Amino acid sequence: MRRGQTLAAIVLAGSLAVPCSGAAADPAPIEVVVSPQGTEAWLRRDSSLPIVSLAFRFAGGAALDAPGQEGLAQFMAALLDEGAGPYDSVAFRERLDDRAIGLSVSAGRDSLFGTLHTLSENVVEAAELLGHALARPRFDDEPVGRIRSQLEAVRAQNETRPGSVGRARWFSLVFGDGPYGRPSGGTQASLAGIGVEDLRAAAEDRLVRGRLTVGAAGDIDAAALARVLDLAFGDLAIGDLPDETPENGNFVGQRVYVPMDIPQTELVFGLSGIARDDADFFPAFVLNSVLGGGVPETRLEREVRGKRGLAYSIYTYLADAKRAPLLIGATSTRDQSAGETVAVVRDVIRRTAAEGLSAEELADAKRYITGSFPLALDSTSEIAGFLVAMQTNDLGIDYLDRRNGLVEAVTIEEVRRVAGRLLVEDAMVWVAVGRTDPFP
Amino acid sequence: MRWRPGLRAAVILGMFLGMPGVPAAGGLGAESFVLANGMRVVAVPMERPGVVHHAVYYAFGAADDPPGQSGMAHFIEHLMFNGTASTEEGEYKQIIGRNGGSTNAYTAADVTAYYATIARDRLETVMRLEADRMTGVVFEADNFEAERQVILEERLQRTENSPSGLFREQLRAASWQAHPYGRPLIGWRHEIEALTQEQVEAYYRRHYGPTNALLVVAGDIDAESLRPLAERTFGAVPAVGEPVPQRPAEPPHRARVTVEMEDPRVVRPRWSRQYRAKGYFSGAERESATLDVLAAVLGGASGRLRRALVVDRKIALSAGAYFDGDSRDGGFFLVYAMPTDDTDIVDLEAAVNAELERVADDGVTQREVERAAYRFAAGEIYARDDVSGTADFVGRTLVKGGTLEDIDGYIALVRSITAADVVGAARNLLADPITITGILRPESAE
Repeated sequence: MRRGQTLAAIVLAGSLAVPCSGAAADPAPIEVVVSPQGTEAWLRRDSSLPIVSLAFRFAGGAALDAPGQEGLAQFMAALLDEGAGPYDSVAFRERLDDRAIGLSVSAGRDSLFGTLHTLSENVVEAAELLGHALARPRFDDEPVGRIRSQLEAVRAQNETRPGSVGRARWFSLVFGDGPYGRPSGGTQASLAGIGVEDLRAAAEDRLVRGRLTVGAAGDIDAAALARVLDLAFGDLAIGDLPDETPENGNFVGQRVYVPMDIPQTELVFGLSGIARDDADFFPAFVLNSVLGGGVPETRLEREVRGKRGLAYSIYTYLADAKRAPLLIGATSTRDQSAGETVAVVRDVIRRTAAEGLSAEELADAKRYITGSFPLALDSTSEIAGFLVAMQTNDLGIDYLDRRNGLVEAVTIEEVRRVAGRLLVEDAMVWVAVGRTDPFP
Repeated sequence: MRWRPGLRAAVILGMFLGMPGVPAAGGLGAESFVLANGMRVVAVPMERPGVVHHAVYYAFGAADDPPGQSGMAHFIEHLMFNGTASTEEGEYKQIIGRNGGSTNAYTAADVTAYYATIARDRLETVMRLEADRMTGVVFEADNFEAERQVILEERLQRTENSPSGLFREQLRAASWQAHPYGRPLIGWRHEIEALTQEQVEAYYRRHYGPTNALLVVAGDIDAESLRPLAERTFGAVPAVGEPVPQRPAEPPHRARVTVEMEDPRVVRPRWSRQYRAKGYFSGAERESATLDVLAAVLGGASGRLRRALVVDRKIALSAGAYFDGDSRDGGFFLVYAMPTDDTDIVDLEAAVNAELERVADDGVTQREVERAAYRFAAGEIYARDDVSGTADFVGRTLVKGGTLEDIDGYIALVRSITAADVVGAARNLLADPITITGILRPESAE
């Protein structure tokens, strides 16, 4: 990755740049920009507004937190804009606000994801502030104590929220004490025990260029972006990729009821999913869109909401989790209807596993998925984020051109096959949170 | 009921008139015309090749629901997706979906909105469907009852299942004595349960039509190309739509109100105080802009309340200020905080008050006022990156009686607010003893 200083910004326009006709009109090609210090970013330039958006991702998230240190990734990420370099917490926030710069870093299970949003006239100052936040976070006592109290307040409040309780229980049922099974928001004891040295070590180990992916969009050219990349990321160590050993989820049809005195029961259900690089990913993606997540009225919405009025919302999604991909769903229904809702969902899953999709459902889904794709990438921040996802998932720089073709190519046989493979109804793991146990 | 609150901070459009050091977005360039049947149409050209956002606004909302029939506008919002004489149940969404578009709707107090984002070459499809369901919804008993259940589930999910949802509803109800703003947008449960299909259908037939509607199309569009499409689609709908009756006016408040609620599922207490204010649509533009600046000085990540209560004194986990000035019949200036474990609510209240007094007595700095103006101006440019947000801001502003000139002039108005104006606004708030205080706390151990 490292290049000689004399090469300065290496912009591989010409040969590697590819026009993305997948978008609605004819936007600029994606450029690969490599900074003098060797940080690479994908850029889609658009000068129609004086805005620059940067998205960045460090591989490895809360799942890297050691047992007893749950919450470390979130704790560290929350402190990055609470004082860095020459600025204490108040001064740092004032610098951001004075120039209306948006900076955020948050921890997911598998990554630390950040965004920087600024007017192009302030892009250098924004990059400098980001550079301080990532390479020189201060972890001063005041913000450390304050963020600890805030995380503890959120953790305690989440224990009273049926959705949070249901999800946490579901992950713990499936993954036990493994990295995905433990609470990413921490426990009371772990939050109390994390010290400044732990936070500092987490920042040094995890915020490294070897784990970094960057996307940029908006009013900036390749040469200026190269300078920005070095200001923002140039002082980080190279480091290496995290250990993200695959996990085996435990899917044996567990059904667990958690009592809570609320009028509406929360239901969480799910199965093993499909990896982004699996040959059957696109058939599975189309299948899930029709089942519970994507098309205007999914099968689950039609049966649970439309026909029976059992819920306001019901959805499923394919969670592209690095160690164990998942298919997760959730809904909520009045106490008395929880048993009926479980039965309806199970029936839809069984039928879909056996039958796959109808030709009409498949055709409609393809039209929706291909037609809505260019419309979804409709702001600089969404484009920057998508450029990160394209790199993280190894989709190739021409993905925007190829993507709709991959959807079109999905056949009804492939969908039926993948439905049989994924939708193993009797393995499905269920959690219900509410007044009465809905499981027979 | 989809739109986030705090719209003004997130979506601010307008024209900057040339102060140094502040970014300028330029005018919106929106154009407006009226169809023969009375329906107003606005085109907002934006740099989004191939994409349009289409939204129809009805000039009434939950606050116009008939007495005893709260939830009416929201119920109709649901039924609008359930079929017309020419489309089957659910077909509206299916057709938009097959064309790659996405669609939704929301019910607010002053306005109900129905919208879709779609490729420019499919725009007329959306317009035909929207024009069709403007007067063509078919009411059918099974469907009506199933949708009532869905709405009750929505109410459980948004409100009844969460102590903060229930508390918000109580606080809102206590904030208005006569005006229907006090009712929940989704409706009271017993009134949703009692609404009959005849009542809902009659309300729909009486009020839904071109004369009560505004169309906004933003994105790859201009007025010249929009006009023939609008004439072919909405222009063909007969000129129906009676105005809704005038709302009851709010009398002057004479007593301080404190709304307190305990719930075992609350972990940390929450405190808020509301000061009555007129708002942008009650002829108080300058006062409103001043309160926007005051809220920016007090609230936000670098604001005074967070700094004093959270960072310096460590008596609050969070603290802020907000001006809710976008409602047609007035609103509130709001301060709020969440105390730390060992802080008494009384001390928290006093500390918030002390910050307001500090503004009133010692003034605000030029840097604070400039920071606020810069952030509003930048926010206007950021908002141009968002077609649906821009369309929505235009639609909501116009339907409540604002003008395109108001939108284009907003940043200039904010720029004209001085430190002395902000001090005056803080003094006015402090001089008003008739406030509404909300306290939500855990159930005590005893």
